[in-house]
Amino acid sequence: MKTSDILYLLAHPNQLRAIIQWKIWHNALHERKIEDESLTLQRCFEFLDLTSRSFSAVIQELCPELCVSVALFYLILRGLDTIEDDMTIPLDIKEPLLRSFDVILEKEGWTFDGNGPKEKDRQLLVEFSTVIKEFALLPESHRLIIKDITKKMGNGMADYANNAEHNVNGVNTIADYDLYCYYVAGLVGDGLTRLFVDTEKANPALLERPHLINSMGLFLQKTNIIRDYREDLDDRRRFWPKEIWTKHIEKYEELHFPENEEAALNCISEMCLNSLQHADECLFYLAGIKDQSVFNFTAIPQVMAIATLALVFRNKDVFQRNVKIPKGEACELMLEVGNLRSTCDIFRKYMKIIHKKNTPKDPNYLNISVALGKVEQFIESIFPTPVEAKAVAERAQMQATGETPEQAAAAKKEMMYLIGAIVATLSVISGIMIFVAWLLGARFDIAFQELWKGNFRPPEYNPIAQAPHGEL
Amino acid sequence: MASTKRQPLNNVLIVGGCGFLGHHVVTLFKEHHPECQIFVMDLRLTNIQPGITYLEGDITSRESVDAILNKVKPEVVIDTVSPVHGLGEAIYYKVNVDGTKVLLEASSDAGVKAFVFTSSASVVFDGASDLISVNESVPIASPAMDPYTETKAIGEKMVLEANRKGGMFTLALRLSGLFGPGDRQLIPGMLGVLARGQTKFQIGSNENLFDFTYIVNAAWAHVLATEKLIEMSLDTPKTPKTPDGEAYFITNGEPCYFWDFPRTIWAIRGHIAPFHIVMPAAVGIAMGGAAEAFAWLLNREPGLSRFRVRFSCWNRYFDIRKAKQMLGYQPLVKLYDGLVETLKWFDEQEKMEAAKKGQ
Repeated sequence: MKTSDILYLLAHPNQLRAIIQWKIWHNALHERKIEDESLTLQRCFEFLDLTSRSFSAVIQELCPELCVSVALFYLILRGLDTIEDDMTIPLDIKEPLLRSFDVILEKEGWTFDGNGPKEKDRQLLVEFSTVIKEFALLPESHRLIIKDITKKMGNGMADYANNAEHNVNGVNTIADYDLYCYYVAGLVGDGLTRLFVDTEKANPALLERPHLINSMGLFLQKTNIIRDYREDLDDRRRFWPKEIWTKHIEKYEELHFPENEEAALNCISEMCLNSLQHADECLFYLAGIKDQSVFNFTAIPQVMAIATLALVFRNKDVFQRNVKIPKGEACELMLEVGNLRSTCDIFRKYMKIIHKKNTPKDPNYLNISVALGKVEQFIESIFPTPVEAKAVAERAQMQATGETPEQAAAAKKEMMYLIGAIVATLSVISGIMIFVAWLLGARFDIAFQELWKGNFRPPEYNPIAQAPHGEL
Repeated sequence: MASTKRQPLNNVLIVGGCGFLGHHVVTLFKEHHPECQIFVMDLRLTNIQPGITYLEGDITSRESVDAILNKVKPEVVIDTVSPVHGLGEAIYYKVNVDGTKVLLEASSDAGVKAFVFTSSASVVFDGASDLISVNESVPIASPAMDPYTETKAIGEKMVLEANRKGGMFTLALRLSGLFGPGDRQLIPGMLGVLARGQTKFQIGSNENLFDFTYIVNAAWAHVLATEKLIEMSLDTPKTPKTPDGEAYFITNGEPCYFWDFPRTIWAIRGHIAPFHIVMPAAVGIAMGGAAEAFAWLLNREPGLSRFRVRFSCWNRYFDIRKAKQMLGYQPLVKLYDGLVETLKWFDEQEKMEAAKKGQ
């Protein structure tokens, strides 16, 4: 931990408390029974820890019916990703691997050592036979779902790897952007949802609303794409769609120049607006989850995304470095997520931050306001605000006292007279006081002159300075 | 939307077709139903458009209405009549209650098939409670906020009860927060704040959502409602699934935080307040009261009133899923685009006035 982190936590005791609470008191809903696990499965979980610590923790808390399936699903996609990401693998080797990865899943003993030495998850593929071995032990329905998604994603990745235009110029239109995010994130959501429904942890109606599933993935992916602008640019990758950034700037790589700050902020806010349009559907999706461990698993990334979105919204640091929500805040969020209501409250909290940062200088000012309103209205549709007790009481009192509208109008007139009388009395009294003061010789002209010059206090009284020297 | 095949219509009579809403209804019927004959009945004929027959008439007089119905023989009557604010209770009652009754009965007797009534979303507003994503299941406010909405609610009730009587299908559209070209209230009020240099002030937290509706979208709902009613047949029994005899909230479906709306107007006009002074609602109401008292003493129109202050602090937005599902309503113009169009119109008006003065 860096000193700056420690200082930050000392200044934010709530976050420090959240970290401590999470580390010490947090009780996992489900825990793996390591003693019952085969050595190969234990090795798989070690890989999970190595590839993603944060994901690993939430996956391991999933209910037993899903824990292993989701863990292996994650490792398989990570394996696919490791092949796709590695620019040292020639395309003629890479493409067939990507397109046939679903078949590879059933090749006992298959491993791959063709990754470059710098590739982070190289070892996973070197020992991929362990994953294949455990995959064969999954229920058939789960294997079919995982294979199907692997096939679609592998083909999607191969298409993008072949697409020279995409690799040089990045994403063109907003529709391309949505499609790209569908391949890298929406598909995963599709597979996970099918696994949840298969184990009866989610409402099967979710499968009839693919746009809800897609929004779950797109909200996460798009928010990360905004956050990672600088990191991706330094790696010569561009994911912000041209259709958006060309409205604000001519050259993508100049967004981080200090002189382009205003344009860059407007651009990032349009990117955030695009992402925000998925938020209500994410909440809608979460309403379809029936199991607590699955709810946590699906909701935690979403609340992290809305927190990240609030952080990156009109934040110029995004163009200079990688911004991240502080660890303490992340722990707070994990502690607060529990049910749909608290998740909606978290969304509202961060939407308020976005609303506060929104400025009329931004061409999308009103559109952002409307997008926030849409999420608020959706939350209202699941958790309606009770009718204001005050207004109801007022009306009851009105009915009880039997005050008719005419009487109310008369009362209003009376009120007007009263306010008028007060204003008149105050004016008359002030007038008299000013007149008396003037009679007694008050010099309002000098007072005004001094006030005009900005002298709001009387000059300091200094009798010595005032006395003429000659008389001493 | 506009490219789909539309239900053909015969003669359409738009009552109040010279008004703010009415003339936009005329424009849309002309555009989407070139096959039909459009007639306008109004008390005073203004906003004249080519290709439309204009007839002077008074809805509070049965003879006047009968004479026009005899001449026009309409298949559709659209009642967009709305007396301007501030005329007093007697006028509201005469127009909104008596007038609606006359028009309704005369239309039914004349064999009109579809009757569309323009109502106000304020009929469910008691003047005190927030309206938070309210739908049509909410009852009419009792007592009403003011005589205008009270009489509008009575008119609406009569229209809905008259459904299917004499073979005429009716429905009511409850509009909220209208703005657009020809607007005399909302946008001029907000431009007035800009002209007086009061844009820095914000009353309330600005966390309240408000539904503003672009006039073209409101007019569009009238076209869709007409088409739905014309498709109806008396053989289909009235169920909650049939569109007739129902009231619908119509908005842009884009509620936004109240102050964000005027600030967008000012930004389009090139003004952005450097900072905002936030006043709690209670302070605002006290100031509104003082301003009203001053204005009353000086016999002038107050720039700020308690009603305006409360207006800016209310949640007032609606759930319009019923109109979307039953009428196939989708706004034609986005909120922001509607605002840009509206301000263009105001710019032109100001230029024209300046030119007139220059002459």
